[in-house]
Amino acid sequence: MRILFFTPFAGRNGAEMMLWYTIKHINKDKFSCALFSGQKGPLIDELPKSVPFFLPHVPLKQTLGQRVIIKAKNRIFGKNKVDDPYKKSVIDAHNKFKPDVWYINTVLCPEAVSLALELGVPYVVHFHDMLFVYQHITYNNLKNAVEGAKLLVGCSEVVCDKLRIMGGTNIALHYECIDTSKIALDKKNTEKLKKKLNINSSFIWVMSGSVEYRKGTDLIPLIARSLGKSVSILWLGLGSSGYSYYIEKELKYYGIENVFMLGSKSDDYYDYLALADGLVLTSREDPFPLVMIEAAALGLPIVSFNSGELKNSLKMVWVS
Amino acid sequence: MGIVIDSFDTLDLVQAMHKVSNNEINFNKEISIARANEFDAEIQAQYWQDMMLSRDFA
Repeated sequence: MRILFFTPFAGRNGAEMMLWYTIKHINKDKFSCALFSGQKGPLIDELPKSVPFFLPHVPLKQTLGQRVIIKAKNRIFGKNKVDDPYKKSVIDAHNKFKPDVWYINTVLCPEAVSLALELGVPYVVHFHDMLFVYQHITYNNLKNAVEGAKLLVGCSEVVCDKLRIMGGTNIALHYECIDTSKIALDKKNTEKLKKKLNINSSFIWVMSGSVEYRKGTDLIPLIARSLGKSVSILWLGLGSSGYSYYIEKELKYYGIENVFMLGSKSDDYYDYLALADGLVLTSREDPFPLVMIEAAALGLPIVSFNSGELKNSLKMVWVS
Repeated sequence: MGIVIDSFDTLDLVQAMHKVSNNEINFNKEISIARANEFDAEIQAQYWQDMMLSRDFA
């Protein structure tokens, strides 16, 4: 089977990490794979050499000037007669690789869904998200993703439930995964990182995820104040919006010094996780957070809201 | 594994964090690691291949 995968960023988020792990372990005798990524993110360099990849001929995030020119051309010549750079890039990739099916990884590739429908290419959509993401894509893009796909894949039971509610018919459950071989700890490095941060707390909590409302980063200042100074909290993940600015200011306003906003730290990621004594998941919605599996693999206890109905999704041994 | 809070109340989350840091819950590290290993990419990739091969996309 020849599969052309579509992914939005090639970034280190759960949905795209899962895709990379799958591609890495795929049986090459049974599957030929290629990848089309909306952006040249850091994971592109980690693709197996045998997997060809394609990028848009021009960056997907067009400048305002580029968008104005395309819009003006569309008005003058009609939409179908204008060279849409994304469409052209995808068609070139399709013609070169000749896939049997497109595998659209996340609903954050709506252009691929529209194009698959237009060209009559069979497609699979893998859903890693729920309502917080649905609100950021258009009505028709979600409709097309659900109603036109040959197969809908949900990353957890609760995601599959949402797909059923939306009228999806051919639904499969496929959990997110981690590469346990990558969790090789460097104890010396962990100690070094602890010293670098100058942490002498009796207990260290860690959370990993983008700094955003869905992940509940804004709850961290209140949690830190309630726990007191003997406990530290590390947040691994990037954020550059006004939301991050607000949180930075709130921490400063209350004089909170035991919260460390560390950014992405991809090289030392597992050593930072291992530095902690427990994982706290503050997400308001998270259908299947990879960090939970990573923390479990490190033997860390987890405290979490039931975001994404984690109890049902994981059927793990919770004690409450 | 830990504690799941149904209430979405931050102070309930804090209380649970206190319980964990004070060793007030039964936590078995080995069970946790074994369960996590079931989500290893090699195992899950096999499920994914079975899922794809059982479908006809023509």
